[in-house]
Amino acid sequence: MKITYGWQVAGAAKICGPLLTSRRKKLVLQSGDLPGLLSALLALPGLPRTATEDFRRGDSVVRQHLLAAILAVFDADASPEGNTALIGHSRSGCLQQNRAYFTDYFQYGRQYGKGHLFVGTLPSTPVCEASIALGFHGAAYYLDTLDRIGVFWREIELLLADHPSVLAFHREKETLFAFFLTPGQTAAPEDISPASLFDVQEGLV
Amino acid sequence: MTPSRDPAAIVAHDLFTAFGAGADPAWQALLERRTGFSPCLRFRNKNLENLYAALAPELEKETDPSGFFLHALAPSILPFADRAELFLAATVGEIERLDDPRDQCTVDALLERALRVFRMERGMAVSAACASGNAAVCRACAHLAAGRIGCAAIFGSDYVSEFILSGFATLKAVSPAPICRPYDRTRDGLLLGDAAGTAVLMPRSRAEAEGLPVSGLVTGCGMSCDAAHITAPRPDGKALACAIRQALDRAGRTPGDVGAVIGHGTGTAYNDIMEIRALKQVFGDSPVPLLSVKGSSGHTLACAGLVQLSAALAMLRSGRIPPQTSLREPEPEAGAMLSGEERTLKKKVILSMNSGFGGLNAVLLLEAAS
Repeated sequence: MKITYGWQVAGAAKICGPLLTSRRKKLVLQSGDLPGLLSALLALPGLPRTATEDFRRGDSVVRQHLLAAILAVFDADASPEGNTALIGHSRSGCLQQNRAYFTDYFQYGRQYGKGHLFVGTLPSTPVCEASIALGFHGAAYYLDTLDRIGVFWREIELLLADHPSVLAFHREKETLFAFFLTPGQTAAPEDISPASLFDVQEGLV
Repeated sequence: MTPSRDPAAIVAHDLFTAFGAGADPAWQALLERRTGFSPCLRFRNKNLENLYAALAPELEKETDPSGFFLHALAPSILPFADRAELFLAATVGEIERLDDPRDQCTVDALLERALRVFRMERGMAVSAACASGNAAVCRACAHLAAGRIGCAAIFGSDYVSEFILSGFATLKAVSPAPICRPYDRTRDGLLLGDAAGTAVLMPRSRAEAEGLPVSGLVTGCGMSCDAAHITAPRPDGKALACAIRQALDRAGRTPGDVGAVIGHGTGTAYNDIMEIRALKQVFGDSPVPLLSVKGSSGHTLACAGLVQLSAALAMLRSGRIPPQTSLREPEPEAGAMLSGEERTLKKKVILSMNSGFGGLNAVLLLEAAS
């Protein structure tokens, strides 16, 4: 027997370049760089406490994940900590980070690599950094579905069978979406794009 | 959580390690406390030649190690290709394609290629660092239990590349010795290994209806994240203990039902003590037999969970718990969990644990089919 789980978008955030926006609260934050965006984010009244002391440890992709994750949770009026699952989705994985580590390693004569660059070569690293910042202890992993977005949505449905909420990331080119999802009554539309899901009027999905 | 009445049955599996093709050579090495480690000469880099790894001789002159593993293990998956969905366990993927002009992510590249080699249409890559093997099995079981798919093929592989070895050496996680001593008081780091593994799963009812031989069942899965540190595990093992309890609950089992634990057991100071503490939280003062396969075949990264699955099936079949390879002085906190001697598997339920960077944990509960 097939089981259909539904979900709903409780909150979401999108980051593209220096612009960070939220879906439900319609917040728009802008800064010249990502640390500046973090400062603007942390200045929001009512923002729950998060662990961002190590924000500078990661590269720009990790920093984007942290910013979008925190804003998505705030957009949902959800609390950090708990059994929320995290899932990252893209086709680009960690190609830039892999090249950055290995190029640096070769530049230094194949003698020494840099630990922080090596840690970034795992596509699961941004998801883990978000879990550390927010204190989420549920399942966490990165998923590549060869761009079959319906598979990603179904994966979230399955995660919601075992978790009260899911923080799901989708990255394409320079844009990163973070959705904070909770169980809902209706099945997810199979083919809806993350951009459409972010832009669609609240309450429809 | 109600236990599934129709757990995932393992209807095919295969393995390739430094000991050669098939599951038996790796199993025999475990029973005989043999190690597969040799100097890392394959990179022609003097800075790495003083390090050791479990290297498959077949890969020494192979320019396409990922392709070699895919084709070597394809026979175990191809009979199910028309009905299975692929769950690829990956860490960094097809890292030899890093300079590919197609500008393609190495995980994405490996997934596309695996689907071509296995003649499959659908699949996904599950990447959870060194927990990827067990994580892929966990996700496959979730899809099977929900009725999303009727058959899942899991493939995981990693080989000792200069990329990976240099990275772990940079983090000072690699033992300088040719011996890896998981759960030993004197452990000083991990040693990497080449390996690829497969497992084909389907609901037990379907396997029985098709008359397929079932070598074991995956009756429980659990996943969690430490949310503590990007490279070090949470010292108290609390999140791993949570994943263990999930797996037990989903199987309808109690700690007293478990006959042995195959730990992640990398031989690093932090990982091993974290696992022992997690087990003590779940099992209390009743010491459960604990084993790591990494003292023999090395840390095989994305394949680690599948190497452990293969060992678990051999343990369930034979009723034997292999001695802990290279054990000299058991970690004091482990008490009677460890042994350098072979033991009898008294209860045919085995827990298999993976943990990875970022505090990722994935746990399987494996049981005999009958």
